[in-house]
Amino acid sequence: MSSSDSRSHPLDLALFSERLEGDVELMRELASLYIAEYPGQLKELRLAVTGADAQRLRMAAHAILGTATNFSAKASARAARVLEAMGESGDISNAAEAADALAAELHQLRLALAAFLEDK
Amino acid sequence: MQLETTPSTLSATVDTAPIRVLLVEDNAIEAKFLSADFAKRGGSEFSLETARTLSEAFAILENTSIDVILLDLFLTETYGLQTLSIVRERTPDVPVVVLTGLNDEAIALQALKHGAQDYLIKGSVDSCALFRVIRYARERRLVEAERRSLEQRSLQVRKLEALGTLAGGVAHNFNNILMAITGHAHLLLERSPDGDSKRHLDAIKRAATRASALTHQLLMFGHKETGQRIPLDLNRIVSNTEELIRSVLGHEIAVAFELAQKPVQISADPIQMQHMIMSLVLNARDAIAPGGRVDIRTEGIHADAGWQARLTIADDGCGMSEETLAHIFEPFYTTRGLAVAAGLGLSTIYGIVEYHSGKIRVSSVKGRGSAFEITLPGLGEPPAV
Repeated sequence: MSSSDSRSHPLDLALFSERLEGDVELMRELASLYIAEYPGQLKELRLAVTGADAQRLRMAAHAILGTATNFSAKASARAARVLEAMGESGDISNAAEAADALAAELHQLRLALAAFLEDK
Repeated sequence: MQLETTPSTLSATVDTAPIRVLLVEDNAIEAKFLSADFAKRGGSEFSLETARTLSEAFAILENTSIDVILLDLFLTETYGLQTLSIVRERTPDVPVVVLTGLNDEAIALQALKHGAQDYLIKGSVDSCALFRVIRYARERRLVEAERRSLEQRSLQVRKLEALGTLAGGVAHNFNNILMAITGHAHLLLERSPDGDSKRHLDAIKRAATRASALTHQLLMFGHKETGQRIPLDLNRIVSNTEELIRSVLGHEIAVAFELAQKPVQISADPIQMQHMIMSLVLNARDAIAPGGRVDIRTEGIHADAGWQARLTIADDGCGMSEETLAHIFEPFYTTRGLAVAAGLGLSTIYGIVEYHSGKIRVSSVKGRGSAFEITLPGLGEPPAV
């Protein structure tokens, strides 16, 4: 995965729009929903990492993965999948770095969605 | 003869009604995306309810009839197959389609073994596949329910046939023995016995006569006692019985007659027909509280070959449970206890309808009432089908 590529395209707007049949109102609603929900999702992930709770990590990453996949945010989805797999395997020794990487991707996604919201 | 016991709770689904889907998903964003899929591409074919937790889902399931559950296996409260088993346990009859993540196919396959109908990969669900899977899950449930109901009906008919053969056979032999008892008692009575002996012989004769009446009912159920079938008008049979019906129902139960405008001709035994009507009316009376009502209707209806006469006797009484409905035509089955009732009323009616090549159908809702529909082959011109 090339992080520079993914950061330049954290959100595939064309796919996102196609999924919702170009319904801009609905796209805006979902973008706002993401911005409202994302801090909670990320906090849960961080708590799982600091608590070294593999099952909790798996669930938190699973939720983020679902969200990212829906937005066609491939880089975020890939990073979330790495963490989910760690949770599944029980080996979470590298979870902190992976969580940082995911947080960075999610932040990019947030910025992209915020930009979409501002771009009337 | 075909027996149909159809509890109204199993009412047929109207084809044009939307497929009612319950989405159980705790991730608000994913739920919103899926709702959008339904709204954008599902048209009026589906109606969607969403729940974020299992408790919300069960509350919806209690108040709404749901055709298919779309279930995320990973909820905040439960995860994996545990989620599925809780749902399956609470609602075993509603098909479940499992929603899984991109790399959860192993769990998805396990879910299928645990009773899920199908699975969908979340986030990348193609809406055509989503709708197809839902339609298929609903269809399978309907086919399954229909198959179970047919099996149950066929089992009931076979059971009643076996019981009829047994009861009829026993009654036939028993009746011969009773005739010997009655005959000998009669012969002894002709010898002018003294007071005590005469009293005992009279008691024997009375008991044997009562026993004989019982065996006649059993013979009727067992289809071994045939009647005399003559052309007659079902309307006239009902009219001739009207006075008797009103007197047994008394003033506190209303009765409404709705008879076909023209004669409803059938080939039947008039006495058996009257017996059948009175027996159903008495049953209705016992199920009704004061202030209730009985409706008696005759009509001609279309049938595959020609037409059929239909007699409906409906009440707004206490109704029957599904358990009772499953047994009502069996001889000696009674909800009032064998000390109070012989449990032969409806089995005799079953025998009568069978003898007349007819069909009996019962529908009942607990607390709301019951309706017995008897269809018999029509004779000659239909009244006004």
